[in-house]
Amino acid sequence: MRAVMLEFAKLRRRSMWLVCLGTAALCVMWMASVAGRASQGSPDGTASLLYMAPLISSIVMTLFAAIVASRVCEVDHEAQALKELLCLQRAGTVFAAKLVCSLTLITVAVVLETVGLAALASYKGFTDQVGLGGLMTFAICQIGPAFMVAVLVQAVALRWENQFASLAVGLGLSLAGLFSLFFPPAVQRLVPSGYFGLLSCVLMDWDAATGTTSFHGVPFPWGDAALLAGMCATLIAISAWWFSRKEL
Amino acid sequence: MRTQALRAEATKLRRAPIWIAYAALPLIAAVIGTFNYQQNLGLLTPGWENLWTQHTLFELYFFLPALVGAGCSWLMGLEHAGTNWNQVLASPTAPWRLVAAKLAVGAGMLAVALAATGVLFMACGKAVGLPGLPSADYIVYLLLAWVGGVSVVAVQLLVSALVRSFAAPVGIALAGGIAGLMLTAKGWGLWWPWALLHLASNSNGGGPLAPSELPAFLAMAAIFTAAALCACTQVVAHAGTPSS
Repeated sequence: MRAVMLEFAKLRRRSMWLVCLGTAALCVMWMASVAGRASQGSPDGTASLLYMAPLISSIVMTLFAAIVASRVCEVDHEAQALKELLCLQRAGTVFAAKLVCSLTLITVAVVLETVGLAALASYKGFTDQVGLGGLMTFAICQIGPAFMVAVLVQAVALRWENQFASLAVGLGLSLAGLFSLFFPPAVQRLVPSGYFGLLSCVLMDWDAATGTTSFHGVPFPWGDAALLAGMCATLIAISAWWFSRKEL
Repeated sequence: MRTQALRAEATKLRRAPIWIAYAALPLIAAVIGTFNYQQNLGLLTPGWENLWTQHTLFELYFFLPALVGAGCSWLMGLEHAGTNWNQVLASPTAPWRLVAAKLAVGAGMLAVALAATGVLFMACGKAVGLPGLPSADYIVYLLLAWVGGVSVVAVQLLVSALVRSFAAPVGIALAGGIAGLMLTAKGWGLWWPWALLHLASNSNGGGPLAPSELPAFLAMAAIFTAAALCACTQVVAHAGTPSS
């Protein structure tokens, strides 16, 4: 716990909470432009937002996770503090504390985004509003892939002092994640940020004959969630092992 | 002495292969865009126009501005380290030359990305069997995207001069790109520097800029670039810190 508090102390005056708020605001603004197209009291307005949210998250949350992970690692590179730090703390503790710090910031941003989505649905009077359970499921489905991206970017950010590499990886994942949404699930499963789409609980049907769209809910994809958790655990294990053996 | 700042920036670029990212991003967009084009031939009208949209829509709206943001952070990064600003400002190089050199390098890196976009567009088009060659309009789109993009480089240099963090300016660039999408939809794209990158490139297939809009586009790009350069020069001129 002390190690996590230390990581937050290092981020003091770095405006990370403001970045969380800005990210959530950006997602909500984008969703608001989608909600604006739906009529007041629409019967599938919330479903359309829940369908759109993974697409927005694959761009915004992926890059946000990369920025957070990069920032959390950059503070130690900037101060050239890793050598000294690893004499005082175990490498595994430092690594885990940085991950927990990233996870906390991601969770805050996603919770704010979820609150914004619920507020938007309520303001527009959509009749298909989801309960607390549905909103929590949505939030977890956003946090999972974002955390996976943060794990991957943290591995790169700790490996290379130049944060251009970690942010380029974040950008690449963001682009690949967005495109993967238009690909079959087998391809999506290969891209960490593609899980935003795979874990979506709302799908869209498009009737080419009438040109109308409809939304329907799908059961929680436990298989994909387990796959993501497994990939995440493997990546954490590999990068923690590698970081503990890094020559400083 | 006049080209010293530019030569210093070129020296920093040596052995820092960040140009790879500027070529890799269009490559990802081209590979996935072409695959997507092939998958949706039933819905799309086959041709260079739709392939262009598939290649450039997301790249020019969101990802290239963000990559430019990362590049500008990198360009300012070395000076932000320690008390390097003091050293830089004590050298016999005017701050505006320093900023202009960084702008030139940033514009050059943007040109690499746009050239890669053009080359990959043509190569992928031939690979999927599109007839003939794309029209010269696409070269004009890329040139105009570069002109608009230079103003993004200038603004991002200003952001990176103000914000010492490497990552935050990238987020600002992405936010700028998304806001640009919304403002363009409302017809206000010309008033937003991040929107200029995609505005003239016809990346959404909505049609190129009308000849009557071109002077306004060029004027806004020049104004944003000049204003950001002046502001950035002011920030750089006062960037020195007392050594501890």
